[in-house]
Amino acid sequence: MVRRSDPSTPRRPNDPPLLILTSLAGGPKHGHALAADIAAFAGVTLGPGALYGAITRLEERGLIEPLPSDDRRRPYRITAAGSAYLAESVTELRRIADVGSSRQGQTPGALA
Amino acid sequence: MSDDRHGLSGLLRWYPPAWRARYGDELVALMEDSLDGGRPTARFRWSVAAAGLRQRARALDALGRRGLPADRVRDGALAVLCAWAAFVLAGGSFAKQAEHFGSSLPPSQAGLPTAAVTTVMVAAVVAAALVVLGAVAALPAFVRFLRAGGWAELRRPVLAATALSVVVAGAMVGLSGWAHSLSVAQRNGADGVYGAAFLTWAAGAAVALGLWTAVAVRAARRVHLGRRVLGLEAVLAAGVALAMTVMTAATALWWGALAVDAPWFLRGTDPGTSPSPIDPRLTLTMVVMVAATAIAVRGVARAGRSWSRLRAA
Repeated sequence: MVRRSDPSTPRRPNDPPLLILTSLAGGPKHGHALAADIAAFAGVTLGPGALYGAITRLEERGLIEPLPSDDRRRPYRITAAGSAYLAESVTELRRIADVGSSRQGQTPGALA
Repeated sequence: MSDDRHGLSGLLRWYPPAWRARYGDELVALMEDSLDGGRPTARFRWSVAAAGLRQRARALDALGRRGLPADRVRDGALAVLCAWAAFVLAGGSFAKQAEHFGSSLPPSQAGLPTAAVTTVMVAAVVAAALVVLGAVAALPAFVRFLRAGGWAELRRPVLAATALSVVVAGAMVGLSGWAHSLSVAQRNGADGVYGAAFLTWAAGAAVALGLWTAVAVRAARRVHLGRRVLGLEAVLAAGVALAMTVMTAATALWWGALAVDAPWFLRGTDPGTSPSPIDPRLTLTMVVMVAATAIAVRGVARAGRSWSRLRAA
């Protein structure tokens, strides 16, 4: 269960945990592949410190998990709790985006 | 396997040991991939170091929340000790900046800032005495720890702190002799070489203080303190935090009084001018004081709550 009031779970589109979950929703990745994917789809460059800080928090909360690996480049995948959290976050972000769109006279969901 | 030409593994020292054991190799691999053989910039190094310090802060916070009540009391008191060490640095900076301020004010306007500075000095002496008392109270347990072979764990950090302290003390003697041959203006910024030497010495003194604080924290985490001693440490920590709060308020009062009556003193301009009273060095001093006080108050709150649980247990 993801708590909405948890202050460590901000719902900002450029929030590193949210970006990581979004990236892992497309399949397991290791650190460098994650950073490259996030830069490609969000235009956000996450440094190694920021990326692993977010990975630490996500793993502690059970939203992602490491996959077995003999390499130092250990891949991670999103868990069921992580998928639920991501879906909830995306719904919330979409709702805000829709409000912004409608107040600007645009059709909700037409931003993309 | 990496040859670690650029010392990337060394950046892991900023992270807590448990974190390094779990994620260290992965982070080094990611840094290698990110740099692609290039040399890490200062900004890159700083960002990794800052992330490591954040992990250390998280680890400390988690330790304080998860440990046994006795451990939480001790950790709360140690948080106050660490905050006090930072406060000493800020206090030293304030003492230097407040030197000779009385000469910039007519006697009728000097009362409030003089009282503020006196309050800071008295509270500093009280807080220092409380810190010494805390060390004395823990001394028997520390001696037992040393007799049980604890010196091996402390030898390296103690030697490092001692060596740096000797260098800092020697440099202070040299600087004092040099300062006597300079005018007041030269001592206060007109002589760039002296200014750089003084800043280097101050940085060394700050690092030495940090090393001794780290030794104290390491030792305190390994000794066994009885319930009565823990209670005493919690009370002393509360006294230190109170003194820090008083000093921070008195410093703000002094700043406000000078900002109104003699802003030129704060900025080192000619008497009678009206520069902005926002001096960068004083601002930094104040920020450190406020942050250290906040950490100390939080540490006291944690120690107090845990002490109540310990007594009830």
